[in-house]
Amino acid sequence: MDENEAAAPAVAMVLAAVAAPEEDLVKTSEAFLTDASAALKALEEVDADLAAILSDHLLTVTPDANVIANAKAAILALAAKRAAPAEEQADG
Amino acid sequence: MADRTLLHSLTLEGFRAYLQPKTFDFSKKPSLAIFAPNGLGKSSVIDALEFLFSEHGTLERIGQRTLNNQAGPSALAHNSAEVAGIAPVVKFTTITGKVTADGSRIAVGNPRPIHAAASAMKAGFVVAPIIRGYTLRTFVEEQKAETRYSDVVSWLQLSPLVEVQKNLRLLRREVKAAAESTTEQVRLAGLLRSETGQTVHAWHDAAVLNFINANVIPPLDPSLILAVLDAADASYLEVGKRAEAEERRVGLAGLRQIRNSVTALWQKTVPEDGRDSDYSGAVAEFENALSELADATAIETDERDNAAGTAFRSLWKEAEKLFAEGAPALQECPVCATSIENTPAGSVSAIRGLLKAHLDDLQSYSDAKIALDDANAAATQAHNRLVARLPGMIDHLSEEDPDGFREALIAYQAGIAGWPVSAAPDTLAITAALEARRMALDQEIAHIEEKQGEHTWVKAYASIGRLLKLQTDVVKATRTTEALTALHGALSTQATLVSGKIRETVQSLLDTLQSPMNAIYKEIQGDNAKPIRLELPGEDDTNQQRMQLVIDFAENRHGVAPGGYLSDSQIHSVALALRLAAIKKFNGAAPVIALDDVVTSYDADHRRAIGALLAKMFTDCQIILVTHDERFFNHLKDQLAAKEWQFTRIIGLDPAFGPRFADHKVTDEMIAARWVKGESAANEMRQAEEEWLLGIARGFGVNVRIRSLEKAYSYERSELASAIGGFLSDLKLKPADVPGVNNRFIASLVKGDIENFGSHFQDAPYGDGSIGDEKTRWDEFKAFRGQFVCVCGRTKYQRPFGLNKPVCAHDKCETQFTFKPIPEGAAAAAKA
Repeated sequence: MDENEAAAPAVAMVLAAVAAPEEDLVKTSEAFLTDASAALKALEEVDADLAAILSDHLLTVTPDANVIANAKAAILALAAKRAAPAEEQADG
Repeated sequence: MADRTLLHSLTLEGFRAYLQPKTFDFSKKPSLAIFAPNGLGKSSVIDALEFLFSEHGTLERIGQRTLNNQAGPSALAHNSAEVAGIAPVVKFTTITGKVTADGSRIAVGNPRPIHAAASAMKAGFVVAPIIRGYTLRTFVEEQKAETRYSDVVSWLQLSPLVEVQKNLRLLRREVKAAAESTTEQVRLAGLLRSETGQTVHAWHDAAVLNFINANVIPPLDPSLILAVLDAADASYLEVGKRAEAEERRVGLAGLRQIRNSVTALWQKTVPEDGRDSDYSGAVAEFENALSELADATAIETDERDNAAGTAFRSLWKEAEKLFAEGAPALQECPVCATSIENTPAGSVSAIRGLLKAHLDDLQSYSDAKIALDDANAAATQAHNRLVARLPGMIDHLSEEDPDGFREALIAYQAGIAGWPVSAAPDTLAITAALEARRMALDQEIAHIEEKQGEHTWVKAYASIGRLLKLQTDVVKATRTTEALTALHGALSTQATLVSGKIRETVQSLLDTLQSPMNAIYKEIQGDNAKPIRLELPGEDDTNQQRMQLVIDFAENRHGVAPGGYLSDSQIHSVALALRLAAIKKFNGAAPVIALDDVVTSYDADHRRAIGALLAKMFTDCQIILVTHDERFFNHLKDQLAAKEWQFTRIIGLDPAFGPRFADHKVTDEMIAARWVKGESAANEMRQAEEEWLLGIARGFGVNVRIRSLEKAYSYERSELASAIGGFLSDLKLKPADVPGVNNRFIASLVKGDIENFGSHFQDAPYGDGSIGDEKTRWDEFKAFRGQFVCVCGRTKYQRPFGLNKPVCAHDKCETQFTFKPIPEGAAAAAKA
């Protein structure tokens, strides 16, 4: 009998011998960022508008090429909105 | 437990160094070790794996684009693939549980999409499964902490998180800069300085209010004071009302405009030196033009009478020549033949004087006529100007017309319009009225200028309005800056939270890896090896995205970088241990490890240690390993289980074929297949013979002389043949003659000159090299080889320590080696 024949179950042995998978230890980046985004928004004393901007622009695995400029523009717009007098804010 | 996925086979065709198809079959032995000197195509196997699982169908080291050096995806294909008509491709089979899946990935053209089966297997690679030796050393020693962090995160396939951390830092920097920017304040301050005539340089409500109450309103009404800087302030509203009222009546500018209209019509200037007054303006100019026209008309009338005989002008001009001085004296009239003496003049000289008087009269008339024409033109121009000026003046006058001036001016305008058909109206009353109006305007303007200068309520209201707008802008800019500062603070908080989460994740992974990494590290470097710590810096911003590898080298050398204290081999081991620990820890769903030349800096003990490590700690993984280190390769063969590992070596690179493997295990069927296709099988025969020779030499445990240093671990066929021949001779074992070759093979063995298998079994070449001849030689060889088959039918031998003769390698046989008689059929076939 050729020794290859004796070794045939080796693949099965390797397949069977591996320890319990550790993949649970490592979330995918996408899942991590989704969770991080949700966690951020759920915090009580967090700036919700800012958290929304971060979620929309940064906390994604496929950020826009102009992610920084876009996020900055959104933050500047938010600051301007907050700086506007109350009646202007009411007018939108 | 979920089923794991392994590679079941891998085929390279027209890919990198492999032109003809080469299949690695992992169905029986899952792990593979390939030895080859550099440049023979061993790394192409690892390249095939990288290509198979890469996102964009390329290799990191050749990139995405073809540059001048011919790298890029075109480098994936064997350089003769196109000529040979071979489509470059990597084929594979995966096995998950008992289910196999076939797939392939074309290595030319665009796109080169990843196969679904490869994607499925890749999903099991939580960390990258390929470790290349050249990346290990740089990881520990040369890379900066930031790059190392990025690498580790990349191995853990968490690169998007590093990108998030980086973007958060960049965004924080940008927002901080925006919050600290003074551009808008500087712009507003510039406007403030301009509006206040450089009086107020920075916005303060009190200072601006003071400026308004001291400079803007007092010239108009010192009693009016703004209480607050607010659009609702009563005084500001009053300023607005006054400005509105001012706009309804004629202001200073308006008065000046009316005065300009008056002086454009009529202005009397009395020189201080007592001379006569000068008159200017359209009315005066028209009057002068009319006066000059009247004079010119009178002169022209007189001159016209004087030149009544102008009809004879031509005749006189001709006669003048006849009676000119120096001309021949005429005796009679050339027209009527009257004697000169009998003419009324009586003489030639008298006639000459008479002609001169007539011609002079004609010249005066001509001059008068020209002067009259000029006067007419001047009067017309002056008339036009006057006609143009009058409506402007009339428009300035109130329609209420309290003093009748407007009506008078309109009547004058009508009279002027009738000229020259009718006579121009008298100007005395009009000019007197204009003069009176001008003087009144002068008085009024002087009075206003004396009272408020250039200030008007309209201007004051506009200025205060602009300052109020500026106040709004300043407040808005200040509030925006405050909001932005607050947002930057919130951003810092949130960024720290997210980055901290990422850091926490990475650190937990590092913590998870720390123990197995050190176990692997110690396995390679020995129990005395100092443990390595993987540390991320604290939460402070500037050190984010850095990872320190530190060791406690000595009592007084805690937490030091390994680069400064560890040997080259140790540094290599640290990186290798980290990578292996990560793969083992996280890639349970697809426990495949590809190692490309990972032992370049190890000494013999450490090479052996790595072999032991793989045998001890990675039996649950499928390992595909290539090395150019033959000693390491031999250590692996010594230590790794033969039932799980296949070992092969590349002995050459055939440009028209690809890498040639020493253990192709060329079968009789493969050789026969060549002949069926009408092709020579000389190479296959030669390789099959080499493989057999090496196997017998190894199994018999023959003594091989030590070769020269530069080929310390390579063997030559002649040495093997000589050693086998000598070994058998010492045992008094003599194989039977092979029919037709007079036992030349064993004689060659003994002599050690069995070098040319194309003409083996004799000293000099024989045969004609045809396929028929090859068949004969192959039957001869098979007949000879058949003598080495054990009684149990196996062909593997071993010679345990202490035994002189080899025994069958199978543990249920172990029959002592002896030559098997050549079967009649084989002998007959060989003989035929």
